Amino acid sequence: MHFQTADQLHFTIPVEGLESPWGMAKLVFFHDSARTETPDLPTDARSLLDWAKANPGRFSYPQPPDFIGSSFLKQVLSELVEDPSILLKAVDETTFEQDAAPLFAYLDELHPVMWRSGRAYPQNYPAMKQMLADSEVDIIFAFNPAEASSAIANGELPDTVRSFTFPEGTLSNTHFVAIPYNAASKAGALVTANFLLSPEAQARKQDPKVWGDPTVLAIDKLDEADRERFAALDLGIATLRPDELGPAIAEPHPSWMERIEAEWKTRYGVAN
Amino acid sequence: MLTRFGPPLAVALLSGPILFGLAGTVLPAFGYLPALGGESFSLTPWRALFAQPGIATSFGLSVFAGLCSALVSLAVVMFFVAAWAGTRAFERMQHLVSPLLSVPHAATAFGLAFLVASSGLLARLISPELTGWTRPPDLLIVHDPMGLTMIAGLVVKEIPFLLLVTLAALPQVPLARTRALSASLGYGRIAGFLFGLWPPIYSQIRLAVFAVIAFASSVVDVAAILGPLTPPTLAVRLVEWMNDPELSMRFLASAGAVLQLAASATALLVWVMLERLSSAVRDRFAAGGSRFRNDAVLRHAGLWAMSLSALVVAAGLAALAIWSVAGLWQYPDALPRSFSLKTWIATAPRIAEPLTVTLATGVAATVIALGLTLLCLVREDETGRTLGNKALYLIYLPLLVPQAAFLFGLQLLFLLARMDASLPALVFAHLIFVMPYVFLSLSDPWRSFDRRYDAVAAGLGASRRRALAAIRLPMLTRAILTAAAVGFAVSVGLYLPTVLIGAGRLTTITSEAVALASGGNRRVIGVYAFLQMALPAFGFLVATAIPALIFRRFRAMRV
Repeated sequence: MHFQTADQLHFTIPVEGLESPWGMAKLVFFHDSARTETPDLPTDARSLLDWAKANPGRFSYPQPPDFIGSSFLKQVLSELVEDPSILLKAVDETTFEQDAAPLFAYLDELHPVMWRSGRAYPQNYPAMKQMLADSEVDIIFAFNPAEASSAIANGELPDTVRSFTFPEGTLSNTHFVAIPYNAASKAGALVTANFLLSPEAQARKQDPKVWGDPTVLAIDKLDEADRERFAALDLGIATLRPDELGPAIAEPHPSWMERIEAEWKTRYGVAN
Repeated sequence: MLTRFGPPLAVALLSGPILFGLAGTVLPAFGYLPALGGESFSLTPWRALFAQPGIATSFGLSVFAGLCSALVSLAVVMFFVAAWAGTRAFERMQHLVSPLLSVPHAATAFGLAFLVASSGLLARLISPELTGWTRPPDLLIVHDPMGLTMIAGLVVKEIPFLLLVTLAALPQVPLARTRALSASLGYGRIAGFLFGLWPPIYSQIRLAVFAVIAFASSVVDVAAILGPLTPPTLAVRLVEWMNDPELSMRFLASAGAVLQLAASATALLVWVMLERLSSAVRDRFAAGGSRFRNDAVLRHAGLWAMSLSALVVAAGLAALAIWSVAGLWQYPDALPRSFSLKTWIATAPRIAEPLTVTLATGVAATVIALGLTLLCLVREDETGRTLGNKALYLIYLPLLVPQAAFLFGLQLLFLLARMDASLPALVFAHLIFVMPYVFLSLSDPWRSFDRRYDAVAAGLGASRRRALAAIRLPMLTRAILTAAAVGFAVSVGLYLPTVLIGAGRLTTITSEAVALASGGNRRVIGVYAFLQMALPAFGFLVATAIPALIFRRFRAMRV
């Protein structure tokens, strides 16, 4: 098939044909240009902390173990960790505390200047969209670059909302479909997985009016007619073009997510 | 005759699932669940449970919420009834509050959240003109760590419930005579009522108050929508553990469900102590001889608190309805910039299936509950034995045991029987909760039916069966349909039974609405919550319209 190279690893683990790729995700931030000046916007995790200190109560992230919230933790960890190569391997329990220390030092600084001083969190990223519309926060993020455009189309966000990413890169991954070992209709599931991979289904999925989830197909390997489908998509005013999305930071090994989620719960899950 | 099977069937229905369900929860809580590799008993699940961060806080929150919700809602009802029973204002308020009983808890909670959030409707109405808030203030109102907003959401829903059970008990006390007597002795209205009439009334509604405590200390949907997050209440965390893809978490969840049982029991125990304490205080005041004549402030406070609770629910529902048709609606706009039916149109195709399940389950559970209730009541007439106080406990049993504590085990049993996510299983689970309400709402009118009609029918040569079919059932049409509407409303509002027994594959309007709650898409929530309240309202409309139609030519049967 005509996959992109990223489709062969699922959070650092080789897929080896056990899953079929379905969509791409990239961490993208959103702001309302009517309220927040573009030059002030943060360009990495450190400047995000500075921005939050200058604008107390105007940033939050979904409460881990919500996937997007945990992804934010992984973004910060990936940027701050001393040796990024350790993230590609399973957590080393003997050095975990030291390895993850920059992340929790960062969060200790961030939480007091966050929305509700970190005593409550949005439960997922759609909740953050509502908070942006309500002026509760000024910067939100999602794993789908088309999130803002599709929210504008639905009347959930004003058409002054725009996207930005970090020039040094943001977290990116591929989502897959798989068939459980005890599935009742395996043949049917295979047909469905094939359909989900077809250029037709992939192009429809990437339409922001439908979902806006980026395709896993390598467009340059498709034939002319299928390339046309993708070229014809109107991605919307708030969506960055694929070449504007910035470098991709690979997902850490899945054990990191489990460990930092557990650690987060112990440190911040019982704030009161 | 068939009716002989009524009472044993009802007993089996009300106690069987709870006993088996509790067993199915307790065994895994001690490590025994062969299907998941738990072959022997151990305390590992308990160790894992107590190692969870903030578990004591979650436990405490659940107990606190149970007690506070009951205390506040009972106080409002008590002072309102004490001050106003027998007046015109009382009757008007009664008509205003009764319909609120049918609004599902989740819809009320959404409405409240939309109202009181710092970017909610109330803040928008007065901002920025009066408050200067060009941006919502950074105040933690919804999801506050003490659970006060959650308690408020429970209180406004429990007030109509406690008011209605109090109204049912009221005719059994000599209201007018006691009022005259206590007034002639110089007592204020409230003191006279509390000293002379409240004890017999309270002993009648005591089980309902217990049900409120058990419910409020174990509620999932309201706590998820309004309750604290760091950490949430015990019940919310239970469901999270139960839904964890890691199957071994089931052991932890089961231990948590047993802890939930302990939390509700603790709340009930504290309540019983409070009962003792307050009756001692009351006796002291009564023996002291003070008349408490200057109770005007308290009297009006009772009326205002009652009106406010009704107003909050109504305003919340209105806010929901507006959100469902809102276009862009930014803070601090008091109204949306544009209106559109887009959300309704986009949601309509997804609503069809949950709506069908909601209707099918609700109607089936209600019809079965109604049939069973009628069998029991007819049997009662035949034997001349009314079910005693013990039977009342039995009827209240499903409302007194925290839902999670036995539903976890029941779900397991259904899984083993390969009955999970089937409509019959869902109907059965709903039936457990519908049955008590149908029985409670039908038994009073049934028992107060004028038996002289039966005597006349017998005198004219009609058999018992004919007298039942031709006289009693038609004359009680209104009461039967009202009981059915109550049962249907209960079924529509059920969250946890639907989520657990429906296994996420059979969804109802309520389970979908709560699932959407965390997403915070107010427009879609508005659509679902609107349907949530429209369905029971439709049920009550039918229950009112049919008797009106049937009895249009019978003057004495009109309301």
